[in-house]
Amino acid sequence: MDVLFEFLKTTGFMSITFGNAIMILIGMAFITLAIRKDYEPLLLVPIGMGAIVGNIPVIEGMSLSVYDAHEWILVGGEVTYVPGSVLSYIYFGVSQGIYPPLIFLGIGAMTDFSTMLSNPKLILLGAAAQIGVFLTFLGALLLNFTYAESGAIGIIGGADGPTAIFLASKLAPHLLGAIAIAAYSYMALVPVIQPPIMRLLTTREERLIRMKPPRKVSKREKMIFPVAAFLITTMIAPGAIVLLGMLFFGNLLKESLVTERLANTARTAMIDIVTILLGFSVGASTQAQTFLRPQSLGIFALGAASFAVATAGGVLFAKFMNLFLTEKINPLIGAAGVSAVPDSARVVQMVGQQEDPHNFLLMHAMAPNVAGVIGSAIAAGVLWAVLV
Amino acid sequence: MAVLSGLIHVSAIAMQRGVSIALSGMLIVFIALLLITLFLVALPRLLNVLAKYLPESEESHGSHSHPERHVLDDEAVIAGLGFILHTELQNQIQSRQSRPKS
Repeated sequence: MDVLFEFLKTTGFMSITFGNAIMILIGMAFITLAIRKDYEPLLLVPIGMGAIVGNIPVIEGMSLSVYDAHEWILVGGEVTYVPGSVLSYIYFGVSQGIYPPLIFLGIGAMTDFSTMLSNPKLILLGAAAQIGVFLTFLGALLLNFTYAESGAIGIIGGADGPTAIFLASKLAPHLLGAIAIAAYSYMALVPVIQPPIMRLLTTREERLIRMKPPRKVSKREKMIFPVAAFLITTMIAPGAIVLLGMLFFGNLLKESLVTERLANTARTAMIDIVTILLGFSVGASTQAQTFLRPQSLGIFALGAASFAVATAGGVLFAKFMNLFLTEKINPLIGAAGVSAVPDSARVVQMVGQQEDPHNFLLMHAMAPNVAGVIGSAIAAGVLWAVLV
Repeated sequence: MAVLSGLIHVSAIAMQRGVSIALSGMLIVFIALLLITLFLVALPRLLNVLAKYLPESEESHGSHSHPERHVLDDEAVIAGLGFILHTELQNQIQSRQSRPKS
């Protein structure tokens, strides 16, 4: 009978906290949002399930949590290796920033840069949207976060989950869970956050602008682009070598036409495996004790503001460009400068078609969209170099 | 009061550095993407010049030589043959069934 009572003491029912219960509910909410609303299901389901797993109270002395990492300890003058928990080894790819570059490899292998190559001026919209990153950085400083923490929080405005995780793992590992959850939550909420801002900042006439179909891009241009773009960007911001190196390497696999098998693996099986591991372990890292803190609320508020600012920055810059262009661009596509690929481009298409059902903006929006991915990786490289 | 003004002073210095980081960061992102833009604007012209000496073949060597292409083609051919055989077999069965029994 004593054994039974001892066992009962170790059950989750005895040691669950109010915070754990809240986090489990949040995990369930993520799964529900993914299933019912189809909001980023590939991310929200693993993160949601991970949050549930990570908030089951663990038995004292047992190595179960993502934070139970392996270590070497000194016992009786001898260094002994203490293995970590299984989850900690999966989380290793997050904490050391290994998964994000692998995801970038897959993104590179699935991205067609043709629209960007055919209309290069749209790249600047991807740069303009990065204002969200740097204004959020200032906002975080105002809320008394340190420089490094502010940099990690600011990158949420890049609307790029892997980049946010990568930079947070380098600059503020203790905030990684909150930053990752904020980044992915807002990416999932792109269809909710962006349309009101886009409508607010544009007139009906502007939303009705039709753009010329993009020109055909030669194979040679597509092959040269990843190598040249990598050289240009990383010579300027070497901090972005890992992310951009993998992104452009993935794209070269696709465009070289001789490594189709590798490109296919990178954009299907590999990115899926890494997404599962990343999503689940990020979710499991959101233990109530480390996640439910006032600063997490600050991070969420700043994240929402950064998405709004980034969207506005892209749209306003498109309007600014129109002052000088003879062939006007539809300012809605500026909103796709936040790099949530391809969701923000889809939102542009949706908002554009609400005004004119025959206006197809998706392909045009993909240009600032993929430029935003490059822009946010450069911003991350700059922040890492300056703040580390 | 002195502590408060000291804190404000420290915060002002932090913000000053923050603003310079933000402005520099934004500028670097713009310069990097502007350079890519300029390169991409120039690229078709460069390639036109290059094409005079090194014409781009319609089909890449990859589409000729890589074995996986043949694998994909083979799969398509096998699928096509399978469909034809299946249709033929169906036709034969139907014609046998519809033939009046003697």
